[in-house]
Amino acid sequence: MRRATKGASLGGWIVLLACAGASMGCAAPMLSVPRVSDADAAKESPQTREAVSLAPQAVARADEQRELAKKALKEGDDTAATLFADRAIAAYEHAFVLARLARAIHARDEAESALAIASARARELAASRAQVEAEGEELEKRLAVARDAQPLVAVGAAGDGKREGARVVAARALTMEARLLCGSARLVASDDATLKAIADVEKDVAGVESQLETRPHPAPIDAAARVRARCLDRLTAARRTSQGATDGDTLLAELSASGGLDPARDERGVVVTLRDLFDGAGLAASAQDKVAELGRVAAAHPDLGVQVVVNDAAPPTKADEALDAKHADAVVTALVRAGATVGHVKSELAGVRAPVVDPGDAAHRGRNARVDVVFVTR
Amino acid sequence: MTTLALGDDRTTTASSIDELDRDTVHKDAIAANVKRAKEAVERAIRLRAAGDEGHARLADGLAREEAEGALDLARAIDAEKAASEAQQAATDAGVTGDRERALLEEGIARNGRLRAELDELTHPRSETTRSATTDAGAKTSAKPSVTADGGAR
Repeated sequence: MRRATKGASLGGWIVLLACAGASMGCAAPMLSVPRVSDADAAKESPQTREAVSLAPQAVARADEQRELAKKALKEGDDTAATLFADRAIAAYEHAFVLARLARAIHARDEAESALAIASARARELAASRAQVEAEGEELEKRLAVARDAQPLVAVGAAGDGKREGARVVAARALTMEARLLCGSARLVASDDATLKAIADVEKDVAGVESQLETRPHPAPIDAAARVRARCLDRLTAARRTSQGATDGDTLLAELSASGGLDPARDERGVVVTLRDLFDGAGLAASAQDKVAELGRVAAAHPDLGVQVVVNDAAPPTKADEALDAKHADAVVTALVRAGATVGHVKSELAGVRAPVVDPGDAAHRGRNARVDVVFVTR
Repeated sequence: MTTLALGDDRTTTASSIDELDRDTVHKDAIAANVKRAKEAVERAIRLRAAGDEGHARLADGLAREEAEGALDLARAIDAEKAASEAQQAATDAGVTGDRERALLEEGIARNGRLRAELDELTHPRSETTRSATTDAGAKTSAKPSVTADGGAR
C-alpha cells in the first residue's frame, strides 16, 4: 500500500518548494501527503466548529478518519493516508451539512409553531371582527329607524297650492313605502308576536292612507314619515327574530352575474325591476323566461320572501286596478311555477304612489309603469 | 440522516448514486459531491483491478461518504426551503392578524359612535348636556357602555 496519487505527489513538491523558499521548518506529513494537512485545515474550519455542537457524532467520525490518515502516514502508506484524509475531509463537510439540516429542521419547527399561533390569533380576531361588524350593521339599522322617527320640522300652512300638492305626493309615497316595508316584515316574520306588532302598525298606515283619500289637506306628511319609520322598525325587529342563510350581498352578486336583471339594494333586500311584462292580462311570451329565472332564484333561496309590486304610470281607474291585480297574479303564478314557495310570495299594488320619475313629467312618466320583484332578506 | 459503515459500501453507494442521478431538483447543489463520489468509485475499481483490495475498500468508503453527504445536502436544502416558507407564512399570518386587529378596533370604535348617536336620538338630554356631548362626541357620552365599547382593548 505505497502508491501515492499523482495529484498528491505534485502537491507535495509544491509544499516542499514553498517550505524551502521560506527557510522554515515544515512537518514531514505535509511533504508527502498534503491531503492530511487539508484534513487538519478542515478540522479547524469555522464550519466544523459550528458542526461540533449540532452534529457531534459526525465530527467524531471525521476526527477518527483524520487520525487514521496520520497513522497511515506514519506507517509510510501514502495511499491509505490520502484516502483516509479524503474521507475525513468528506466527513467534516458531511458534518456541516448535517448541522445545516438540524438547524433548518429546528427553524422549520419553530416557524410552523409560530404560524399555528399567528393563524389561530388571526382567526380569533377575524371572528371577533365579524361579530363587531354584525353588531355595527344592526346598530346602523336601529339608527336609521331612530333618525326617521325623529319629529320633522313643523310644516306650516301651504304657501301655495303647488307646494301643498307636492307635499301630498310625498306623503302618499311615504305611506306606500310604509306599506311595502310592513309587507316585507310580514314575509320574514316568524312568530305571532311580531306579526301582531306589524298588524298594529299597518292599522296606523291604513289610517294615514284614509286621511290622504278623504282629507288630503294639509298633507299628513309627518304622520306618513312616522308610519314609514315604524314599519322599518318592524322589519328590523322581524329580521332579528328570524334566521336566514342568504346574505343580501351574495344575492345581489348572484343576480348581477346572471346578466340583464340590473338588481339594486334597498331597505327590504334586493330589487329587480321589470318593464313591458304583460300582454293583456297575462305575461307576454318575451317576459316569461325572465320571471321564471327569478322564480328559480327564489327556489334556490327558500329563506327569502318575495314581494311583487305592480306600479302604474298614470293614476289607475277601477278597471286599471283590476288589471293590475291580474298582472300581479300572473307574476306570482309564474314565480311559483318556477319553484318559489307559495307562502313566501306576496303581491302589492302601488298604483302611482311609488314613482321613480316625476308623474307630472309627461315625457318620462311611462317609466313608472313597472313591476318590482323584491327578494326580502332576513 | 445516514450513518457510515466501513463494511461493504458498494451496494449502498450504487443505490445512493442512482437516487442522486434522478434528483433534478437539487442537481446543481449536489453536483460536486456526486462527481467526487463517482470519482471515488472509479478509484476503487482501479485499485481493485490492480489487486489492491485494502485500498479499494477505503475508496468505497470515501464514495459512500460523498454520496450520503449529497443525500443529506438535498435534505438540508429541502428543510431550509420548508423553514423559509413556514417563516414567510408565519409573517403573513402575523400581518393578517395585525390587519384584523386594526379592523376590529376600528369596528369597536365605530360601534361606540353609533351607540352614542343612537342613545342621543332615543334618550335626548337637556340642552346644556346636549351641547357638551355634541362637541365632544362619544367620549362624553353618559352611558358607560359607550366608552367601554368605543375604547380599543
